Amino acid sequence: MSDREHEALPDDLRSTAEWLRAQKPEVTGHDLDWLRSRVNQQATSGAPAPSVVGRSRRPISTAIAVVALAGGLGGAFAIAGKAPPAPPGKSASSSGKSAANAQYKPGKGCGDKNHVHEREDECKKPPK
Amino acid sequence: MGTLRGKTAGEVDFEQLFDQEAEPLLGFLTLRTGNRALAEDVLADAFERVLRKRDRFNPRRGTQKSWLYSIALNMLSDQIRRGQAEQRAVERVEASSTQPPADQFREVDDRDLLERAISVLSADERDAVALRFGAELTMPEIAELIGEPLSTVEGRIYRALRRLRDEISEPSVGIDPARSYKGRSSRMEIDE
Repeated sequence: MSDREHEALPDDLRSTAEWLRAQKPEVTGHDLDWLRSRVNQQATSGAPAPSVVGRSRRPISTAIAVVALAGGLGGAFAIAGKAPPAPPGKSASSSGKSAANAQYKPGKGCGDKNHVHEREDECKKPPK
Repeated sequence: MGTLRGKTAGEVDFEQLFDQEAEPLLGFLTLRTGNRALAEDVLADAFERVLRKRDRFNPRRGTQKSWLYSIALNMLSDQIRRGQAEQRAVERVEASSTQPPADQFREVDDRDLLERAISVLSADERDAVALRFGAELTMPEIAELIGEPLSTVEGRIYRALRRLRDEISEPSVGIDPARSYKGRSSRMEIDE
């Protein structure tokens, strides 16, 4: 408020103006940094960020769901005891260097042309 | 309003605008709403809009500062409209609750007092005093921002100050507006 405008107010109104100014929030540098990062987060995520009042956490929950789903696919293969599908143009046996193939033997077992033997006589039938 | 040059014509220097206007804008929004959390929400939304649309700023229409405050005022109106229905429901609940007589004279915290005080003002009066004493905009800046004559803005602010003076000088509130105040507390730290 300029001095001129300040002097234009009667004493009682000036006190009220001072009271109003005293109600302004105290803002620290940390507060401003937090607000700035919140603005950037909102602008990049395309949805409002969580706040004190409480806002939609849709972006976070969506991200968590995507990660869980992606993790769940790998877990599903492990449970089934099968190897993940081989990349196109490659047989399952030739992709044995991957961790998945090291753990999960490709092929359906003896008789399957893609089955990989660990031992030479693994699939030989025992004598009657 | 004060000049704030963009990096190029029509583009807003967001960082500079934030550095200069975040705190005053928060002051305006807090005085206007009586609720700091809500004020922070509106502030974040307003700056987000500025950030997203910074290349659409038209310097012929006004300064970046006035653009920011226009955005904030519009968002505030939307927010208030959404909150009014909710507030009416809350007030109905509060009105139905019974309080022991002693609570009538319980200590009132700063936020409650501010909210109660500004509730006696019209929306236009709240905007005017909050812009003047929260954001420290000058009278001509306020007149330009809200599109009203300077004399109208001055009359509105004086009228609002008188209403606030009467409201906060109620015996149950216990604030003497004739005395000067220091610090942030609405309870008196009187300069005697």
